[in-house]
Amino acid sequence: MQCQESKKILDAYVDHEVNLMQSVALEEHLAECADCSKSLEGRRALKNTIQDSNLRYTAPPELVTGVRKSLRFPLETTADRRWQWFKAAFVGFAAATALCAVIAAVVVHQLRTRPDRQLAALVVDEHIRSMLDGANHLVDVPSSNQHVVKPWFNGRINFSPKVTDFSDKGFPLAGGRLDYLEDQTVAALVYKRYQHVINVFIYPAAGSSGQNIYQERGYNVIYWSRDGMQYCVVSDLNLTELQQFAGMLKE
Amino acid sequence: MEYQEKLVQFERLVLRHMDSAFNLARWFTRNADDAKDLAQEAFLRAFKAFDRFEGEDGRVWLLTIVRNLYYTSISRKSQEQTSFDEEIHSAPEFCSSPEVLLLRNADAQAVRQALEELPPQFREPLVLRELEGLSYKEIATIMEMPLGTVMSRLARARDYLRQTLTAGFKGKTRQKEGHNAVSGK
Repeated sequence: MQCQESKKILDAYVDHEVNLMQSVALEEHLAECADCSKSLEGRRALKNTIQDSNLRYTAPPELVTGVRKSLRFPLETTADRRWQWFKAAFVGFAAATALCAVIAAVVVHQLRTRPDRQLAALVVDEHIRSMLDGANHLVDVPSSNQHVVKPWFNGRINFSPKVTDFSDKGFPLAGGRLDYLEDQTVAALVYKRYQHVINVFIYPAAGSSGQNIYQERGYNVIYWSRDGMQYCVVSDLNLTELQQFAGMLKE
Repeated sequence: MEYQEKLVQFERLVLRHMDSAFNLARWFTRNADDAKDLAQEAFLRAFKAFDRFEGEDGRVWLLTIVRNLYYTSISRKSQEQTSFDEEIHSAPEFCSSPEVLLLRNADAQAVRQALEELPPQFREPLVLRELEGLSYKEIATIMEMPLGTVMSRLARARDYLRQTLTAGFKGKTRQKEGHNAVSGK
């Protein structure tokens, strides 16, 4: 390498911007050329001095605010904004959680009450069907004698319902029949109150012992559970008398 | 891009190089107020053009805008300034030992002044290299010129700085010649 060439890449060498080939060739030349070595020394000294002189300017605060303002940046710093986002996210998350909880509560409530409503509807359906003209199916065993009706269920269903005639209290037993409710065969007792028909469905099921009352399509439905048996009373009779009747059944 | 999202991206990729933009503007204009105006204008331009930003280096992209804006604003003057006589300022072949010592111990204020007095086409690559630490390739991108030109400009810039800073050693006549030629705009 000649001094002419060396001089061309000396700055790049100081800046570490030469490739390996150039670097090797230059170093060979520097080893035998005092002038170029001195030149290199001078350049390195200058470079160090420039970098030590702290010549870099930093943006004044008014430039920072000016630019942010004209670009309509939110006034807060990024850190503030991140914190705000975090807060917003947290509030959103909390709200969403609360909403989920409410929805879950409503759904659970619906799930818990819906079978009851469905049951009331089914009971009313069965009640109406039992009284349809021509169906002739209100009673399979027409009798006001509880000692006839109760044994009739033996061998027809796998439980023995309690059967009581309430003729003395104005609710004569009219008979019994088999019916089908909630996927099972159930005992249906039929009582009369004047011209009103009362169906009592009895079947084994676990349920709350509390009394539930529903109005469904003009019919009153009362049901409760006792000793593992579900009792459903349905009639177009007024609710007061039906509740009175239900009270008798419970005794 | 939604405005808020654009701001966030712009801040992350471009705005954080505000010191670099101001530094270059400051060395171009050589006064703080003009530099502030130039940098501010550059950021507004950059933001408008940000949709066309394609993920290249945000600082190089920003400094290119600062540079173009500066040369547009002084288009005529810059023509005159390129008439800087490169022959007069071609470097002496080597440094003597006292010169090296002078360079090593040069006062920061003197270095600052010497750099300010450099013609812009030499001042610019030196600022980008020594103060911003950019690579030759990045400087070539910003200055829109071949790598070789960047290399020779840097060499010349240093030659000139060296001459200015060692002028006391070389004698007043030489310094005066140099200074006249530079400031002869």
